[in-house]
Amino acid sequence: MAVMTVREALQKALHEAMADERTFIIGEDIGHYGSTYGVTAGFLEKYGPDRLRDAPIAEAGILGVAIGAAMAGMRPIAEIMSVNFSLLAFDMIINHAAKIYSMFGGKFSVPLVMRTTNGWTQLSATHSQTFDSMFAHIPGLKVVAPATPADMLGLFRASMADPDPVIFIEHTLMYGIKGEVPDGDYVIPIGKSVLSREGRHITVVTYSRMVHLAHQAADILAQEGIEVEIVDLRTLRPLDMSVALESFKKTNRAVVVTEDWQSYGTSAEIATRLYEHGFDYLDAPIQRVNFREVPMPYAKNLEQQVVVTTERIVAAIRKVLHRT
Amino acid sequence: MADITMPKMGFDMTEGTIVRWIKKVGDHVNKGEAVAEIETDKVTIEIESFVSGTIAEIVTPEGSRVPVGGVIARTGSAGGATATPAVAPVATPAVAAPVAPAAAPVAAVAPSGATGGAVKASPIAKRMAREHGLDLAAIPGSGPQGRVVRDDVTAALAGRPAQPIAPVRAPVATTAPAPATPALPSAAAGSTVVPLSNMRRTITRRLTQSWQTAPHFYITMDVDMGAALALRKQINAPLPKEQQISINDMIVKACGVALAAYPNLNASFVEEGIQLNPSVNVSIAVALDSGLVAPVVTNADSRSLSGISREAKHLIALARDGKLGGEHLQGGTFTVSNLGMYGVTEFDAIITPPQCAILAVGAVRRVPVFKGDSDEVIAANLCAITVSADHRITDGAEAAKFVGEIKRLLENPLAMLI
Amino acid sequence: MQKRRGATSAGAPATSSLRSTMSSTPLSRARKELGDAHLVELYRQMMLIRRFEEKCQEMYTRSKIGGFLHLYVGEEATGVGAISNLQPQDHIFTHYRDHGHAIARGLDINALMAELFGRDTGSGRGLGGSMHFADVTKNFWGGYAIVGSHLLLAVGVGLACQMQKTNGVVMVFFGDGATNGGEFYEALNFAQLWKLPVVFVCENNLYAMGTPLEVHSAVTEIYRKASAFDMKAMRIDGNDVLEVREQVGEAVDYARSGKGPVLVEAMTYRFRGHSAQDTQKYRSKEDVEQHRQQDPVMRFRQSLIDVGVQTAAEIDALDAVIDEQVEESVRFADESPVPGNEWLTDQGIYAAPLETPTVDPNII
Repeated sequence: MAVMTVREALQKALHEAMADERTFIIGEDIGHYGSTYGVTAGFLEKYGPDRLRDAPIAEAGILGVAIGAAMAGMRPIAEIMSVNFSLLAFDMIINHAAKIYSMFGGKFSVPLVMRTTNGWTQLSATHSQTFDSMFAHIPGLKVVAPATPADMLGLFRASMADPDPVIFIEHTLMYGIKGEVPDGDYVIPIGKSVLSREGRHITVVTYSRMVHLAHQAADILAQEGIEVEIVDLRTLRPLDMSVALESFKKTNRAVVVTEDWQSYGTSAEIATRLYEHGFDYLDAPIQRVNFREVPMPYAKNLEQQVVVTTERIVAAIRKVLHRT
Repeated sequence: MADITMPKMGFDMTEGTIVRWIKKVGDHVNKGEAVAEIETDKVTIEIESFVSGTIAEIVTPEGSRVPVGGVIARTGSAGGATATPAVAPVATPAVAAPVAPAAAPVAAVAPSGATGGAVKASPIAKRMAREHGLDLAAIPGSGPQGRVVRDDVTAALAGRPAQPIAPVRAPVATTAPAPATPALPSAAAGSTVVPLSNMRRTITRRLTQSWQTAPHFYITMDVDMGAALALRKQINAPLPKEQQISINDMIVKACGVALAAYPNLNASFVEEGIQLNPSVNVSIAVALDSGLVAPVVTNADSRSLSGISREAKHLIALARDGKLGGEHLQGGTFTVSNLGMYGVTEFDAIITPPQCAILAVGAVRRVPVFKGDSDEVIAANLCAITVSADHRITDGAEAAKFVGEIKRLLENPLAMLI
Repeated sequence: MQKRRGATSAGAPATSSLRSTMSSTPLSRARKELGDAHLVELYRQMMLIRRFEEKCQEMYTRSKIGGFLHLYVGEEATGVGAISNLQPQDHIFTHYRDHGHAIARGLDINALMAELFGRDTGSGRGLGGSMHFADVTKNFWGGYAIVGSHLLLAVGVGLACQMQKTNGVVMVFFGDGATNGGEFYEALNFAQLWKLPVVFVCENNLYAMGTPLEVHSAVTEIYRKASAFDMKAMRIDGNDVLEVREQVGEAVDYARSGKGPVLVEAMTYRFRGHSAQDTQKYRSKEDVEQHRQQDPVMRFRQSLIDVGVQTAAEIDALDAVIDEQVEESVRFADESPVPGNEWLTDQGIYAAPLETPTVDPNII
């Protein structure tokens, strides 16, 4: 066991991936600039410009080139600096990466990992969005969004070994989070959720950075005797609800926390599955905590009200438990 | 005062369900005496008390599941109430609650007649009340706008008010989220997989194909079997047992005659269109220990009733002896499946491809009916028959006429003999 | 940058003689350089495409083929001439009008017809249809139906060729209508920036679906768009199979040598509508008829007879074999099974399905 940050875990994962000669990293400002979030700092010096490819600011091009190279036997990692920019590459991701295996009758696939990052910090309307549900909506993609350094490393290993396109979603506010990382070459399979904290009164179903906020909320509520169980989905597609449902059948109450807009968002799918498969265990309406549904404002006082906070999670749990 | 707890009855037992309390509050119990019957994943077993005394409180009602170690009852002076909260039963009520009435679920959750209005209750509260035969209207709700929630029902079952979440002992240590742990073991762990027999495999393949490709619809009618039963009695009276005809033989005959009149029901769906089959061959479903076979009575429309009976007996005997050959199983154009001998009232069958339809026959049951248009009630022997038909070939009206024809023939059985 | 060349230019009326534009000099030279057998093979491929496409039209009207049907009739010389320069290690990407390129690359027409019929024996197991022919064993990576997008995938394979040092070249086909979207410019920039071995072949048939060239593109000489990237470019007569072969051959050699990509603009014309249901309001019947007079397949056929490569009887016999092969493809397709329902599960969506299903097995 070693304690490392999410950033360090990702660096370890990327160095491991680069041990495969077929792997190269392509993205904006990952080399000469030194990497926006510091994840690939030092990689250009170590691997050279052929395998650490600074790309033009052309997201469709980055994805398209990576998809083509993946089809022809490479194992590329495409980095989209911010998930907001991935919109320019959606044709490549949805019409190509996700379709090629099935559309051509399963004769070839796209073993591609696309790293990208959610996040916000007074970046206003076009730089603070998350599109988790848009990726997870698409058959043919696999979508992971880990929360801890250990899961980052384990799921990245699984992603690189996978023959299908994987969207690997990080979070700008998570790179500095520390956690224990097991030694050895463990792999965390794609499509397996995990019980992140045990409790018996209510289940919080969440993933990515919201797992940490859910733990903070649980700590606060523990002082009142409320024991919160937290399920970390880790993968959004395929969505493993087994752990969440098992927990829900025990607690009979749930709060779903996701860092995106509520309407048609990931929380809609998660809550629906709880209703569909756990109806007879339901003791109170499921509550969701999400972004308020506005384009992100710049002003700090407004931004703080749009994003999900520990306080909002606590309030939601109290409401479901009918405690004021 | 001593607790009786849920015992661990096996190395992998984590919880048990109280099936029945043998002792009641106030009963004396000796150490080693059975107090209750419990059910685990594997067995139903009596559990014994490890203390002697009087049962003071039954904490866990029948039908509830309790983790190993959970308090299920207390001994002490009878009637001595306890202030110590017991371990609450885990949320999942038992699958089979002995006291649950077999009434329809909707009726069971309907509010009591006293109030008339809908009782606001959570789905799990409704289900628990239903399973334990409780009237929700009589349970005070502690949820928003008085909604009856899980804990209210639990409390009602235990005869005490709902327990609020207890104040905490100490704050839970703040830790980072649990690091990656391997996923929980799959639900399949511990189960066994029985390999498919060839017959099972064939059933799987063909009926799955049928279910996925043939759009099924169903037509059910009650047939008054009085005349058929009387005729059968008359025919069988002089015959030795091995030559007697069965109700099923009469049904096969009726189907044969009706199929001749409704060729679409005797057809097969093929890529080019609807193939009308030249002869009427009725498969009869025969249940075996190892599965199901359906030997074919050929030309069921033109054979005599006794001819059908002889052929059917022969085929069934071959089937039971495992001696059916391919020639006995091919060429069926329609199937009759009869579960009447199992007491089945009525059921829907899956079409055997490439046939168009299958008839599911229930038990003949004696029921009171009105005689004609009068108010006089008489006894009738009714049998529900349900045809499952392939909507690619036929439609509801035609199938209804076809079933009506079978009904007409069985209710006027002499017509079949002519 | 080469000067504009080639006999046909946008909007110029086609001449009406079958023989006049096919001078015997290049043909005589081609006989010496390639040999007669090779010339006959070029003809065979063009005629096979022609007959296959005509049969597709027939099968479409008989409802054996569904969806969209975009025929390559009229453009055969471009695909056949260009692809004749490729080696087995080379790669092809193309657009939704992909039948001709697939046949020129040697894909089995039985598998292609079966694909159109939606059968399990199809090149894509019946999952892709007309717009998505592919055969990975021939590095034919498929037809793509989002206009312009596949240029980037081709550049990606070009990058793989360069990094893997396979000496392979990628040839990517697209229409004039694909040169206005951003992906075209991104692709040219990436390819030239990294000097990737990619030959971009623009089949300029004068219409983006039904919008005329001068209505959809600020620059109607498409090859000039390469100048923004200092990329080698050429404009050629796409209706003359020998010119296509020779000029694209130069482009392929250039790309293979490591000097970088080339943009080829091949002037051509499609004789049929954009797709099967096109009423062709955007052009006159006379225009189409004039171009048909210059039919690249029939013109080449006549030239082969004129200079004595084949007798008329020999060519007739070859045509009869082609007809029989096309008929056989229909029989094959008709008798083939349809794809199974496993394509509706994760098994059909992922190369590595997962324990957790993404497709709800209980769906109603």
